[in-house]
Formats: sequence, structure tokens, C-alpha cells
Amino acid sequence: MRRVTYNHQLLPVLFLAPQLLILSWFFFWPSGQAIYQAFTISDAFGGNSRFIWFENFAREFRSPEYQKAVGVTVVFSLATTIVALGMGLLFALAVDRVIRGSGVYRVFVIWPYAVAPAVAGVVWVFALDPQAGIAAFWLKQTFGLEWDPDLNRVHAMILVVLASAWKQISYNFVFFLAGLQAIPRGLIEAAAMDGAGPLRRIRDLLLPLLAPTTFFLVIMNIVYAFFETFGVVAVTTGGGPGDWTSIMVYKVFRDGFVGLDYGASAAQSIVLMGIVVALTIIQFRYIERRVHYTG
Amino acid sequence: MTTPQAFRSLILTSAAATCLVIGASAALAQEKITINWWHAMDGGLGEALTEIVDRFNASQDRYEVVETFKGNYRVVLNNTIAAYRADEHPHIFQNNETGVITLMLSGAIVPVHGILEEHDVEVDLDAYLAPVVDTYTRDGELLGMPFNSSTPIMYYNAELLQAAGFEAGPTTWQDMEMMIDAAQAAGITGADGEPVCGYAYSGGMWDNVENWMSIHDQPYASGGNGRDGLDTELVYADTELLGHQQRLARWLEEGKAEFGAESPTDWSSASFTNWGNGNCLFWSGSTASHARVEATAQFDWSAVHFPHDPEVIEVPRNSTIGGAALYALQGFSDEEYEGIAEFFRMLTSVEIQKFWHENTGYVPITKEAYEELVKEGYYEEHPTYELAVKQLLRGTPGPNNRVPRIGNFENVRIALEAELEKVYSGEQDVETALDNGVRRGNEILRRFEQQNQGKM
Repeated sequence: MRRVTYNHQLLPVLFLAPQLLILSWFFFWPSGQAIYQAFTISDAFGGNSRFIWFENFAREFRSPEYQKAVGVTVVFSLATTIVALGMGLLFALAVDRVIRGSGVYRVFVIWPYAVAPAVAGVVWVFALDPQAGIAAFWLKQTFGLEWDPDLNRVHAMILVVLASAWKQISYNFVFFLAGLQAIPRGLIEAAAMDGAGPLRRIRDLLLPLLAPTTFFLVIMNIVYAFFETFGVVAVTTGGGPGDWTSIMVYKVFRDGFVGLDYGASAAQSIVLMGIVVALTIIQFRYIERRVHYTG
Repeated sequence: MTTPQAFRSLILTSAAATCLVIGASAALAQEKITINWWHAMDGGLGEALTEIVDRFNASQDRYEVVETFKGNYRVVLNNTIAAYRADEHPHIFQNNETGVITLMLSGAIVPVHGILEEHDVEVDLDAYLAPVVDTYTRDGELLGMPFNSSTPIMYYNAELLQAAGFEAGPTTWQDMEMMIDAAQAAGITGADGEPVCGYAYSGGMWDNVENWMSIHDQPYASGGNGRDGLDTELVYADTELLGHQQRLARWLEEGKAEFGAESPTDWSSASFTNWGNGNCLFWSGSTASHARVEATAQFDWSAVHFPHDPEVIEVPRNSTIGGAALYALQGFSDEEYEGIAEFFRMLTSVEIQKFWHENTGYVPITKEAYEELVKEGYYEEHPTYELAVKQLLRGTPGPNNRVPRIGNFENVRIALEAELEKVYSGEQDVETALDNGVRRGNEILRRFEQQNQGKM
């Protein structure tokens, strides 16, 4: 095959320039600002700014509230990822087997992804409101359960996990379905002829072949749970009751935009970024080895 | 298909159009001086505000006030800070009672007192209700223009209370408990068919902590509730507040109160919904909730003063205000500040104060407006509207009867709120909650002191 080459030095730079400009303007510059801010202290209007080295970080690590937020975040992220992945996979497996009208199902399952996290939060607040919510009413009628996310921290956690996972299910569904449909029919049919039932085929054939997709989705879902979910918490529980749903990214928002402490807020977001980068590296180094990309 | 020529002419046309638009708006700007105002009033409050602005704009032809709703107080402040840093800020913006010290030390505002005096608008602090003016002044100088001021009162379901044999609402917390006991013993049920819930309690810091403490003359923070300097420390854990919070916790446990959290996004709460649906005897809220109560409650209701505890104080003191003031920002021309002064002059007029009070429930902030409303007999038809004014006028505010002037007050509040929620869910006792609240709050205050080092 003949390769097309360019002798210009300038041309590749020109092609890259618009993208680099956008990246620097919207990513590198603000990130740089955040990193700088993490090492400073200033008043609400940005005056009186001083460089204080690692004091913002040290202060957070010492704070029992921050330590609690880390614990809450671990529970929340794991639960959200598991629910979102599990449901996404379940729906994808189901739709994969539907013969008629699968297009309709697909549209309905994908729909929630178009909903902003904060709006998803509001939807779930309505459904699960202890006073007026349909779900709360149903729980009480059927199981006699007093649903009370205002005071019960387990209920509150379930509320934020459901609201956060709900829209992510659509995203996972799309990828799982695409992954499933890329699996050659012949393989599945061969397994069926060898006597493997549907569950057996899922366990021994489909799931291993979906490993690359799953791996990718785990990373995406964790990033989502860590960074994009503060809107859900802000409109549902407000971090309560008693800080039990105050995840790290919500604390970043609250200390920065309610507490007007931009230094502390920036330091926390740097920590958050560090954690996600570390998690991703670990996943690539240790888990990816076990993922096979070719069927 | 776009040929180069067509493309060029398109550019030329749009450039010409842009010039026209810019030219036109420049011409308009010459006619009137624009005063931009960012605020947090939506719904019925926003409509009343728009009416005030329209009246001002119609009353003269030199200035045009342009009001913009930006979201709640928090959002308005964040937007204003961002805009200020980018030098795109409005002339005036609305900020609530918790932000006074932040703005006072920011260097970003121009104290309103000077603006008014320079433009020959008389400032007579004695003309205002004392707790209102006290909240926004420093050394007798008005920092922001008091705009909307409220205070908490106790609303009650008159039908349920009557069924229990009571014609009037309670004046003390002891009365209130006795009434709840009587109603529950009589087997009265709420609109939901369940045994009547006594007090629909939202766990709010403003009514059952800060205002309760002001009424009972208890100190929230050292140094005159924060007035003396940035080294102030929280002291509420060592006051009678403990007893009051223990009473509320006990009521929740004994079923005399039902908890419903405040909404994180608007001014409502699950406890208001509970009371508004007709399930409970009592609900405490802002006097500015009148419109909301009138729109929601499908039953006879009334209100009384926020109750006091005679074992703590014989004669209750004034409560404090919630609400907001309008602050002018740095960086505008003298003409623009003159427009701001004119607008503020109009805001404090008796006519506008009456209009605002009658349409929102916020108190009239000048004594003259209040006296005229009394003279006109307004309160004979709307007795619950007068409660807040009377409650604010009880005595002269001392150090404990004023809004704490402490840094990052919102976060200090949130810390105590979170700790008290852990009491209601059975995780800790009230004493621990108050101690933890003080610890967390003091950390926030020390941080604020550091942020504003050398400023006060």
C-alpha cells in the first residue's frame, strides 16, 4: 500500500492548531488555574490571595468530614457502577434476544441518557418523595416500608445511587448492545447446537467476549460517578442526612460555591482528579491484561 | 453551494448588520443610563419586584433599571463574584443576611450610605426597624440597602386546633406541647387519616437556632455575635439552646413532631408540604411564606409569634431578620451611582414599602410605612401580617439579638444542620451534635479569618 506523506513541516501543525487551541482554552488553562488555586488562599472575591504550599491539602486530610466523604464516595461509586453496569447489561441481553420491535425498546432504553443529571435527580425526587412520591406510596402499601430519605441514610444513599445510575444505564446499554451484536452469530449457534442453554451461553460465551466493552465501561462509569454526579446530590439530598450522601465531588461544589473557599475546593478537586487517574492506571495495568480484544 | 464571492458578500452584510445593531444600542444608551440589578426573587416575589422596577422606570426618564433573576441568593452571589473578577458585574445585586461580613471585607462594594449622602438622599437610620438596619450597618454606616426582610412566625391549622378545643395559638413552647398532647389524646386525625402530627419540623437553622437564640437572649458567637472581630468563636453549645434542641429531639421521638427536610433547591420543605396538606397542627416559617400558605392551605389557618420558653426568658426579645439587602459594586461612574441613589430613594418610599409588604409578606422596613398601614386598618383584615413587625420591634437589639456577623455563615449553618440531622436519625445525642457543630463551625471561622487576614 502506498502511504501518503507530506513534506510540509507546517501543515500538521496547522491541522492540529484548532484542536490544540480549544484544548488549551477549555482544558489546560482552567486546569492550570485550579492547580494554582489549590496552593493558595484568598477571600471570596479573589483578593488577598497568598501562596500557602500544601496547607489546603493538609487541612482537608486532617478533617474528619473529608475522611467521611471519601468513605461515602467509595460506597456511592461502587454501588452506582454496579447498578448501572448490571442493568445496562441485563437490558442489552434482553434486547439482543428480541426479534420484533427491538428498535422501539432501544429508543426507550437510550432515552434517559439525554436527560441532564440534575433533571434526573428531580425526576427521582418526585418519584421517591416521602410525602408525595408514587414509589414511596407503593413501598408503604406493598411492604409497609416507611420510606424516609430525609432521615434514613441508607434510603438517602439508595436515592442518589438510583438517580445517578438511572441515566448511565442507557449509556452502558448502547455499548453492551453494540458489543453483543458484534459477536458472530455462528459462535452462538454453534454453542447452542452443542447443547448450551441461554444462561450457559451468556456465562461462557457472551460475557468473556464482552470483556473489552465491560472494561471500557467500568472506567467510564467510575469517572462519571466521581465527577458528574454532584448535580444529582444537589437536588435530591443536599448531602444529607448528616453528610451521609456528601460525596467528594459534592463537597468540592459546596465548599467552593456555598462556602466561597476556592482554595479548599480546588485542592479537593485535584485530589479527586488524582484518584481517578490512579484508578485508571491501575485498571489498565492489572485488569486489562486479562482482557482479550479479539474474539 | 457557497462561492467565494457569495461568502464574501455574506460576511460584508453581516458586518454591516452588526454595525447597525451596535449603533442603535449606543444611541439608546445615550438616552438613558442603565442600572443593572441581579436578584433572587422569582414567582410571586419576582412579579412584585418587576412591578416596582416598572414603576421606577416610568416615574422618570433619566435612568433605566434592568432587573435580572439569576437564581437563589447563593447563585446570585457566585455569578456576581465571577462577573466581578471578569469586570462584567452589575451595578447592584441582592445578597442575604448571611453574607454581610463577606461583602463588608471584600473591597468590591461601595457602602450605600456614602452613595446616598453624596447624592442628597437623606439617610435616617432611626426611620428603619432596628433589627433591619442593624443587620446591614457597620459603625453606623449602611453597607447595603435593606430590601426584603422577614422573620419566622408560627403558623397553625386553626381547624385542627379548634377540634382539640383551642381557640387561639400558643405563646410558649410549653403551651404548644400541651396542645399537641391534647389533640393527640382526643384522637384527632389529619387530612391523611393518620393521627394528627403536632409540629411539622424542618430542622431549619434560621428559626429554631438563630431566631430562637435571639428571642431568648442567648449568644451564638463570642464578641457580640461576631461584631468585635474575626477572632470570634461559636458559643451556642454552652447556652440554653441545648434544652430547646433536646425538646425538639424528644418531640420527634415521641411523635409530637414530624421531620421533613428543607428542599436543597427552593424555599419549600417536606415539613411545609406535610402541614400544608392538613396533617399537622403547627409549622414555623418566614412571614414571607404568607403567599405560599395562602396558595396551599385548604383549611382555616392563622399564625402567632414564634413561641418562647418562659423558663429561659420572662419577656421575649426581638427576633432577627432573614432576607436580603441590595449592594452597589465598585467601578461605575458618578452618574450611575446617582441613578442607584434615586432608585433606592424610591424603594424606601412609603408607597413602595406598602406595596411590597402587602404583596409578599416581607415586613415594611420603615416605621413610617408600618404606622401608615396601622392607621389604614390594614392589619385588622390581615392580622398575621403584623406579627413579624411586632416581633422585630420588641425592645432594642443587644449583642445577642442580632444576626451573627460571622464569616462563611452558610457553611457554619450547614455544619450544625448536618450534626442535628444525625440526632434525629438516632446516631448521636443533642449535646454531641452541638459540640461537633461548634468544632466544625470554628474551623470554618478560622479559615475565614485566614482568608481575610489583616482586614478587620
